[in-house]
Amino acid sequence: EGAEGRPGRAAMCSGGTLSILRSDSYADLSQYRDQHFRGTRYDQERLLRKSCTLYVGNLSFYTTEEQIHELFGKSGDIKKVIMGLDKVKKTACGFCFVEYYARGDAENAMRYINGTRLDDRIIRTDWDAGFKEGRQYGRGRSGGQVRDEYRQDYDAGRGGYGKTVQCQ
Amino acid sequence: MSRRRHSDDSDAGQPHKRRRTSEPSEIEERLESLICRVGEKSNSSLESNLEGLAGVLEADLPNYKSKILRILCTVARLLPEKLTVYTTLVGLLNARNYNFGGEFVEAMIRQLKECLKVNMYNEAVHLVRFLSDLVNCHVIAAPSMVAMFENFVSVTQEEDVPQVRCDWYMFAFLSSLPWVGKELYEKKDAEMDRLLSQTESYLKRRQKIHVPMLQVWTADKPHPQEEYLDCLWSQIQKLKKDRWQERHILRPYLAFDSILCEALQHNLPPFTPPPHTEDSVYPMPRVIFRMFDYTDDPEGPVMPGSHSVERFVIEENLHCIIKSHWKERKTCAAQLLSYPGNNKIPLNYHIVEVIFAELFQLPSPPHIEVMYTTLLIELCKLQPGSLPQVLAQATEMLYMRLDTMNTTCVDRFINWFSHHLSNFQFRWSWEDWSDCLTQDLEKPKPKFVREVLEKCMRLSYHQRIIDIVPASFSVLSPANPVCIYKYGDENNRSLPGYTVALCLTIAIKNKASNDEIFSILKDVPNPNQDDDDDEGFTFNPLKIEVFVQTLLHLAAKSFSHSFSALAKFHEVFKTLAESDEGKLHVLRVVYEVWKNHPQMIAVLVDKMIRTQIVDCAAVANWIFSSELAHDFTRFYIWEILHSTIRKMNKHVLKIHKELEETKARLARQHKRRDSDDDDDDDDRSSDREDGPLEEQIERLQEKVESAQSEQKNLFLVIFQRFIMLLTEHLVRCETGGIDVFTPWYKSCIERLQQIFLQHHQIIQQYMVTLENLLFTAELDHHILAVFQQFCALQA
Repeated sequence: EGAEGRPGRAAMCSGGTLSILRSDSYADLSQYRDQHFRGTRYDQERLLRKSCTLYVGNLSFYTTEEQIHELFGKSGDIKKVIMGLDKVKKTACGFCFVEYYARGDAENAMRYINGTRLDDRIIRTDWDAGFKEGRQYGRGRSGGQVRDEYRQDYDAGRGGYGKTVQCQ
Repeated sequence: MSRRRHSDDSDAGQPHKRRRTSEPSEIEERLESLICRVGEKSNSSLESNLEGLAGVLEADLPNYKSKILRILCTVARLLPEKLTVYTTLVGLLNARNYNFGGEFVEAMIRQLKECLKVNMYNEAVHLVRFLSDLVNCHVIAAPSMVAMFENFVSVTQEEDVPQVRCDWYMFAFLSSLPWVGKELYEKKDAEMDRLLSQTESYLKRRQKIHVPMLQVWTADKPHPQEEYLDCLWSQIQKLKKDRWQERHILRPYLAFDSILCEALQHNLPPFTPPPHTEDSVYPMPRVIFRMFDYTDDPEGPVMPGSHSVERFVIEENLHCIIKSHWKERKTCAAQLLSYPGNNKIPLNYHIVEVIFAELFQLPSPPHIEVMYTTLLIELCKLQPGSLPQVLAQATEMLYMRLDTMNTTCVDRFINWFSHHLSNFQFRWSWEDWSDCLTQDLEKPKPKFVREVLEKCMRLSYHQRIIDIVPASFSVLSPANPVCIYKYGDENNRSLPGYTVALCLTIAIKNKASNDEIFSILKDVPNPNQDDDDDEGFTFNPLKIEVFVQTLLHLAAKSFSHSFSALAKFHEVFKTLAESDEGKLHVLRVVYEVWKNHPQMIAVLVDKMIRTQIVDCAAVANWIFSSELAHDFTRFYIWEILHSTIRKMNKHVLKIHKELEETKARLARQHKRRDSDDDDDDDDRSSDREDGPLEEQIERLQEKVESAQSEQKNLFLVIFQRFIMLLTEHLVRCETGGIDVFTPWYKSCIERLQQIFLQHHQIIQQYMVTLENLLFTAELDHHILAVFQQFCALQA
């Protein structure tokens, strides 16, 4: 096999790859930047580019760690799953973090698991700069995620109506 | 198309550096874009686009010749699905600029040699095909192409070289013939006949021991799973019989015949295949996957037969499209669906067949399995009225043929189908498969359904699965994944250790420390000893039982809870599981507690290996232990074993990488010192600098050796246990006069094959040991055959 010491092969691969084939849009950074991130934009982007951690959104409140492990395990070995929690109730509020051992495995999750279904819902994955204590809590005023504060529609998997609608 | 400005040479000796460095890369990007996009959907015809592009490039040749050469060589290598578009382009350029044509051919030959040197054989084939199609474009003279092929075929006369080397040269020759067979035969029929007859005799004498190991199905009906060279040969023979008439390939150069035939051709320089070296690694042989024929779509266009050259070309091109766009699933799906077929071929069937061919490929799929699931979903989105039906038909066919499907392929089928269903609300006509309910549960069909339902449950939840299958399928439904705590049942009060378990439970709930746990466990007698004559740190199965059962039960709520428990009481685990027997027993207890929840067992075993509570050899021994015999053929067991092997392999690679990096650091340090030193060689200070690094290297070296030894031992344990198990079965069958080939046996022998195939690169290192120690001539021929097939893969 001898993968080491093959300058010829590396030169062949890097020197002659067409940009059309380098396209990897699913694994690119999105426009989203965490507003609570402590550090510069540059720092955040640097971390995002080498991160092995994904944010996963649009989960059902009933989706379990086990289900997430099964689905995301399809792109590689998972180091850790951290479930997102309602800050007040401490129950699942529809998002989580998935950390892989290898970035390549996280990239494959972005390419092939993002935009597919879990618990019949299209889930969305995005690069995360890395879990820090406190980030497992929703940032909405009621304790859940912000998106569930103002939502107008009825979503059985996410507590029904949005919080502001519920309070009316 | 505006002409680009030439660099400004009028300023005497004052190059406008800044302006110039930004332009060339922009221009190169633009050139690359132009060249790459030609052939895509456009308002103008392909011919006029090619003509336009040829004009632009010709104008740019004076300033950007080397860039254009490089781009064209690269598309030849990396966009083989657009082969004829680019050969036409090169043909037009050659017609306008003979020297450029010559330089291009030379560059291609250089690139081909480079590819062969660095074992990039798959790309080399594309280059050879490109060169051969250049004959059709009047760039290369036919006789010189024939001469190159003569040199290729003569490789089969070389002595003491691996068969896979000869195979590659033969493949490169044969697989170019659909494009250029006609032209070469017209110009040099005697030479071609000679080559074809040499081909035939080579194919007759080459050995095919490896074939059974690579076949997806062991049965020849309804479609034989042919060895790839045999299939290609049949296709070429048929092509020759059809007088080399080939109508599927799009040949844009035909429209330019009047221009191209005026061009002067170049002769290929004599090409000597680079000799075989120790470092040469040739592609492994393949078996051609076929699941459809023209009878499967009676209302649509006729599917080209398995021995038609059209079939070969279509499959090659579809595989190339996937290879080009595997990272971009929407693009990939769109490109596949826009493959030019002019409604003459049942494209959806070809696409589905090619995708399953890759998914089921042995030893491994070209790309990660989950890619194929998502690609099929994208295809269903783009063709909602037709593709889902083809996919359903394919699923049905695969189910019908489960009895002869290779176990590894069944694994992949299970994973694909369950994941696919989870994207479509698990809708499936399960009643259509009621036939499996009357069979022995160990038979392939019921087994498949059970495993699928278990995987579906993992992606959802238990009640969901009960709801989606008919009541009659309950016998195949997965168990409710609850934990079994033996000390939780009041009826088990009299069990030894029961009271200690209660004690432990309370202590752990009160956040006891590791030390407190140790002292509680001290009270547990050791059933293996008459008296506890030491601190109780030797193997005490009852201690392990009580502790592990209790802890896992308390932490049963989720994976995270269990992982926290393992982490918190790591010290206790390490101590209790210090010996090999201890490790084995921990695994046994984990199984006892969680046998209803295989997924939990898998993640716990993974965590325990990573935190070094158990080692890989312990897991291997546990899998082959009699306690697990009941679950031996279940999918999750093999997922655990292969995951364990992979962890071992990654570990070795990691330490190896560390060692290489440290060595590189030392080398850099030497270099810096050597360049800094003038006359004074202060040996003492330089030694002091080296010291820590050299020490580190020595330590890492030891670590690498120890890891490699552990890795080798792991494989030896696995092979040994397989041999024992299989031999036992064979002897029992022979003395009892019963048929060897039970479902269990088929599963077990294919699992052995799977070890070889999935980890073939590592195992190659141990060939001598395996041959001398384990797979000796005394072994039953059934088992030895597996080893021999494996040896034949790189022979």
